[in-house]
Amino acid sequence: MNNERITKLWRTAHLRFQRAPKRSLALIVLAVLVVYSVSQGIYVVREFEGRHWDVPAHVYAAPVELYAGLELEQGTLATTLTQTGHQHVPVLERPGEFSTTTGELEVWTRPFPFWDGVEPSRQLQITFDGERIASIVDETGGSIPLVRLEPLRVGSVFKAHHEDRILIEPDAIPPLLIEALKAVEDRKFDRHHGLDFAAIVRAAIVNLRHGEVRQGGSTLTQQLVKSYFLDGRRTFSRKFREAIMAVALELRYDKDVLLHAYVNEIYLGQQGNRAIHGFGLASEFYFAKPLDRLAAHEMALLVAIVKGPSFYDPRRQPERATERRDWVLTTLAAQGVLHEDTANEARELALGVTARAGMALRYQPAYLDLVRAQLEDDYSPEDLATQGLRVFTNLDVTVQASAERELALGLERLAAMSVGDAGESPEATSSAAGMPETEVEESPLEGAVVISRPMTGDVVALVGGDDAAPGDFNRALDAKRPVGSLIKPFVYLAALETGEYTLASPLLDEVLDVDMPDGSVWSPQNFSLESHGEVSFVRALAESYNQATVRLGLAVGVERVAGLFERLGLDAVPAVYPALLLGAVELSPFEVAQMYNSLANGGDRVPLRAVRSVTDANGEALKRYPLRIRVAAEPDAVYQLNQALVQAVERGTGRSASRWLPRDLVAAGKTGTSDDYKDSWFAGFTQDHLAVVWVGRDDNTTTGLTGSAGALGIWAPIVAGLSSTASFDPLAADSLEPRWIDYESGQLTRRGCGDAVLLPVPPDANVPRRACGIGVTVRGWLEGLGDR
Amino acid sequence: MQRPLLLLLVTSVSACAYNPVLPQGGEPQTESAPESPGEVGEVPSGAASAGATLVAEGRAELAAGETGKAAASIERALRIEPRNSRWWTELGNVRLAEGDLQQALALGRKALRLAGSDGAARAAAEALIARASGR
Repeated sequence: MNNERITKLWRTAHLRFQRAPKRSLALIVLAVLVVYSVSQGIYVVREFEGRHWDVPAHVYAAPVELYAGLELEQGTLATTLTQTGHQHVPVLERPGEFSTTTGELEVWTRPFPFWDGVEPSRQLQITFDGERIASIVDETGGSIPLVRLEPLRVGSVFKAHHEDRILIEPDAIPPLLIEALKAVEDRKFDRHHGLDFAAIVRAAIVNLRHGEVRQGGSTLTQQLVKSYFLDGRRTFSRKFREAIMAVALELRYDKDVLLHAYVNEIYLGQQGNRAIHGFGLASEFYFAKPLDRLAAHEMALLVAIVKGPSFYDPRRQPERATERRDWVLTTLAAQGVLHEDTANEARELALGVTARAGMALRYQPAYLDLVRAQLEDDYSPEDLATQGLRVFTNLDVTVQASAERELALGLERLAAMSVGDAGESPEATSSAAGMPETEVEESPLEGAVVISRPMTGDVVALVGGDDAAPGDFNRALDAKRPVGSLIKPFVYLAALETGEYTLASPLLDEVLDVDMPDGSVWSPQNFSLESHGEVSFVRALAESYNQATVRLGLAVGVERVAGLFERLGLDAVPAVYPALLLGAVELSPFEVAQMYNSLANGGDRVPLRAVRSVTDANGEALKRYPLRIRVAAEPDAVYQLNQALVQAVERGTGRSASRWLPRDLVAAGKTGTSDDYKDSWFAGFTQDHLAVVWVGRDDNTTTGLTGSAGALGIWAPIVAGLSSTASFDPLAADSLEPRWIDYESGQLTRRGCGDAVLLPVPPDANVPRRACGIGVTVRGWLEGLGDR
Repeated sequence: MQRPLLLLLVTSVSACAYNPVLPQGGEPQTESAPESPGEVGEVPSGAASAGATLVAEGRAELAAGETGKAAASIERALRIEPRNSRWWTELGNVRLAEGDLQQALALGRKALRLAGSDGAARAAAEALIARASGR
């Protein structure tokens, strides 16, 4: 039956085609076109729906908590408020404003929904006493013990990782931007239906005249379509498809909706592998400030760049960019968008772009990598990209900015330094003779930083590489490198945990031969190629002696050392073989931070966390990542070990830190250098912060740097710049007594005699006493002079 | 939010420096005397007062059975004063109320190490450890 019907239809069509072939052909073509157009229309509308109406997860930095006594200068608070979008005004009139007079700041906060409830809007008067907050009172004059400020939004989670953007809400688009886009890119935007035929004809004439494509007649809607499919080819078929899609979008959506999508979608630059989409991100990328704070000349530059972000790149092609910006300003004045005088003044101004990208406060791609990693167990990428979740993190934007800056400066300094005088530390100078010849440097010096709060495990900053050469490789999380001597504290901790060793124990630093399972013999050397004989436990660690460490590790058991890896925070135990004792294990800076955080936290392991909590789009709590602790290592053993790490910074391989650290700031830490100087590490902590710095090359060639010559010179300025960090000062363990120990021999001595250091020792420890003659004192004093 | 109750709690916590809290969310034991020598009659520092405010909120939330919120409030206090032994005990009390004895015990031990010579803080930490160990 069906077959008969089809046959009949086919015959009818065939007959008609024979009778009027041209008309039939036209009908067929038309039908195909209609079907094609409809399908393309549906396709683009679907694409648009997905992109425009999906709300990505918004990620917030840690909120600033204000209370009387907090170390915070008035200017810093004003900056924080400005960053979170508060307006500096003479007199407060509405929420979101603040005003300042000498020693006093008044702010009218906006309500903000946190995970645990809404922080209400309040009018507060904050007085300052030098560098501290003196008091906080509300409008009734009542004293307020604590205020949690609105946090800074530092990014959003999108489906495509390399297409991050800063979304601008429709009502937050600056009117000047809207007018300028219309004036420069699409004058008939408010009237056309997706295509501007006059503009197309005009462009065609210009292009024909020049024999090449010089001008596009694309409307904003066409540009939006083009941006969705990121296909730069200018073929006729693609143009045709683009036109159909533009008309489809115009039929389906209001102009406002399309313009809003355009502002958040259009391609405006490139940072390494990351495409810069949308004016929100572009504003941060070029000017390091939010879109609503751009002046006319800056807004004009962004509009100028639309035409060709690479061709008019203001950092690489400043002249070209200036020329086009000025043309844009002239056009805006001619069309009445800008006053003639304003445009003239704006033309006189420099471009105003920041020297380097990547310092954007509201865009933290490296930290966001950690956020994604932490959330991936609980949320699908689809949910993160579409559900409008709100993610509250531990990121401290001030510390992050300072870590980024110090890493960039430090790498610049190191790159400029010739290898020959790369270090002045004992570790570096003693090794100068054995330093390898540097070859042609193929890959630039790179680095990574992780900073945490030891007691809570909050990750406050994470830098994945030098912002001067941005890319997607997050070295803090993904570069697994041999840790070298960073492992030594774990060897010494394993020994202290047995109870058979103290910081005063004598260790033998002598040549040794280790029989390996494959029949070979391993004879580890010291960095200086010299052995030191009998040395104190504390000195062997502080000076990073290899032979003493291997002897100790073998005596204690390599398995015991390997076991500490899992206890202190890693998922897996490394392979158990003797070379592990000298750091033949590959870890990422983040993994090193996890292990050292357990040391800095007195032996308690807390998981390093980026995310505190997640709410849905309406502020309803979904998930919290609570603080959980586990005793990972014997606290008294960790206490003793940390005192040795303080000595490592004061007089051992980390002592060049004193060049940067304030005199009275006590820190503990350890250098690390892998074979052939491929990796330079420093991991160290104060009371409030742990910081791990890695320096190396992506192609794993030598850096020519030891831990002290490379990473330490970045770690120390970062730590010195932390405004709220206090000296490392753990509470003394009850079971230990402070004793004056001779640093060199480990024998009991008295204050001022030789190189005496005050160290915690178990009261029942059998420590031989050293005679303290005048000769010992003078020698010790002279040696001390020589050391410094 | 129960503002008057909260204010009362804040005032009592700030003035008395510390009151051990019942793990099952009962009212703070107002009868206990100031136990920490040196703190009697002293105005608490800004940080301590901020921490006390948060811990008072945490107690109120715990009393209302909202252990998640209670823990969040006390964690805020810990971020301001990470070495305050009492706040670690408070967090341990929340975990105890949740039935997480292992965490309660670990937090109690941490609190005890941080208590130093503060007798009241030691006593509170020891009490938590005893409860968490089923003693």
